[in-house]
Amino acid sequence: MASPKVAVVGAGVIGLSTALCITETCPSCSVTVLSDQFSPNTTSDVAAGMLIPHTYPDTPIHRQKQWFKETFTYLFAISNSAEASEAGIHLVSGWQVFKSAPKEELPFWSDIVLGFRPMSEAELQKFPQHQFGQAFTTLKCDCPPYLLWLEKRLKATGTQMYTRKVADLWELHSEYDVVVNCAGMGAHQLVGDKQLFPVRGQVLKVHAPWVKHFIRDGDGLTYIYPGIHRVTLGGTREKGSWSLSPDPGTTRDIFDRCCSLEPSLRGAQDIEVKVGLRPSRQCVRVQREVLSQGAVKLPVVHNYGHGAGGFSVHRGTANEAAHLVGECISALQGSSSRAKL
Amino acid sequence: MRVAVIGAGVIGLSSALCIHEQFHGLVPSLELEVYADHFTPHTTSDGAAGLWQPYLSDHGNLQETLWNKETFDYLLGHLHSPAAEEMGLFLISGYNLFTEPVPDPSWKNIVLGFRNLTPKELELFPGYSYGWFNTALMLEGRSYLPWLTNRLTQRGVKFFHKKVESFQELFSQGVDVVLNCSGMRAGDLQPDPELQPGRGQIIKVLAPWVKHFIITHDLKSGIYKSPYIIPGSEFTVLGGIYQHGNWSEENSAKDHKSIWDSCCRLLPALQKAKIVGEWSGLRPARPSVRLERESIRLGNLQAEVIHNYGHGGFGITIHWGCAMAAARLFGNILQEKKQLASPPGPRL
Repeated sequence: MASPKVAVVGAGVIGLSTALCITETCPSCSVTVLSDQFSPNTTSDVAAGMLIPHTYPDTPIHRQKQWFKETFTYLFAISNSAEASEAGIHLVSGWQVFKSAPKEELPFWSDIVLGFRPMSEAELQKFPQHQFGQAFTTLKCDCPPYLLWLEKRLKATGTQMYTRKVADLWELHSEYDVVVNCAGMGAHQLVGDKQLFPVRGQVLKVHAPWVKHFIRDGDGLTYIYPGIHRVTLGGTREKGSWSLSPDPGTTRDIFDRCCSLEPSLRGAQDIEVKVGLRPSRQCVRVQREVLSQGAVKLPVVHNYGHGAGGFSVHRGTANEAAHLVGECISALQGSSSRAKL
Repeated sequence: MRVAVIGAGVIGLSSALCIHEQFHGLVPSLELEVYADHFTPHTTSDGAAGLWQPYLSDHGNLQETLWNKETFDYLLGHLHSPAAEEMGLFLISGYNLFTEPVPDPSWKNIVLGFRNLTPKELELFPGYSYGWFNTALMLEGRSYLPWLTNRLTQRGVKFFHKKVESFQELFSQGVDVVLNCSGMRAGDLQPDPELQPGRGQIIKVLAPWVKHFIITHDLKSGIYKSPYIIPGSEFTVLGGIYQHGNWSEENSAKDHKSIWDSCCRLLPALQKAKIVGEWSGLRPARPSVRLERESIRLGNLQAEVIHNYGHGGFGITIHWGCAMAAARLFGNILQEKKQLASPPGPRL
């Protein structure tokens, strides 16, 4: 197999980063990205892109930590380079505050982010309704810039990208040797995964350039994440809701909750409302599968179900998926040489 | 009781406000006037980035450390007020970088969350082996000065756009007390060889992805001679120039290159930043701030001057502590003239 043809379905942060990893680990592969949506219309574009991991109940912690560490290391290097502003990657410091002491004092990622420590009494004065807090510095991936930067890197490797709605992975079997499923929420229909469910998130993106820190309530519902040009205010976690329409009552509620954490937001301008469906699962599905109809087989690598933690683990899962693609190709090359015998 | 403030930078305007707030109720005849040849946005305070941070060492000057603390605490108290955005006041965190270990600064317990940098953080700054992280405040002159001006105008304080040539000039017009907040030009009113310009130059760029201040230090060269990057609400300030004794307010191409090259080395992504302005200003440098009374005999009258100048590169950092100290000196003057305890008497 001279030039294995790999199709990546999905052009959000997972699809694009997985495609890029495949070009890196398998330079002889011809990679094509197929998606019904590209930036700025993906779920990733709605997300703030903060590197603060979400904990998946059914994925072993050491694996989640490894994914986060790889992602953080990768982005840290970009943030420190001349490409940082184009890629939309920047450091941001801030606070995670709790109304009551959190279950775990030290989250699994506390030694990966920078300068993690409990907040001092003086710092907590800024948050009169909260009793406990953690201060640290982490990274933020602004979208669309990060996705556009990934697209640019992909184009440079010769990767083609097409707008195409794939209704069934099998429809790709005659054109491609391996299919990588990074369809996010789309996997619900695409592969009929009933374990995948939406967690609706509504956010506001506002102009408030004096806000230089992130503030996050430990309950995960209220957060303020300053990006390059806009500050993301959130949010909601509505399990099972498929609605992509902004809700005005929710907008007012998010704004009020964020203003109570950061009163100066009252002066924020240009409020834009966005909605995304977090493609949620008890564990991220990074897995090989072989589809078959009769004697025809189609190797598939799944990489979806990152829910609220897509950005935090994207590079780590992309590396793992690319590795699985490599295994699929070896298996194909093995069986094709066997066929020649 | 006519009080004239000379100077409309951060020191003049804040001293005027502090005095008016404390005494206008007690001295019904109090008339406050501000005289200046430059008003916002053309003062030295307007050019400053606005970061609250004292110098590394207070040289044992505990008084100045106290004034710095009073200013920080005063500003912190205003952080959640509706006025904060209008004042140009917000929290900011960042890095101070060194090539060798240094003692902790006098202000380590004034700022929030002061700590040493971890090895991983130092990886961000090749060439620097030691440093601090802390959360401090920004008070942008371009917003704060107009805010002060509005508060003063609301209180009936009058402004006069003129260059005062001498204290005598004001006293002969019937002014009782002069507050000398003339900054760099104090020497024109009364020779002071200790007051020297500390010339600075800065480049303003659009780099909204920079969320932290980064201040490097070269202990051999001295303060502000090493690159620094300070992100504001509209643009980011790049600097690193301190030239003692240089009176030029013209931008220098050589200094521009020095600032640009050194800041881009510190933060490579700045190479893509768009330059939107450049400015040179003179820090009114003095071994210590001159904050004291001076009684001047004019014929058979005793005229009072309160000096409040020489704040170098830390004017915004120390301004409110000094304003309150100036107000205390004013209170002393009122006591002596028996203006406080008794109703308004005949004018001197």
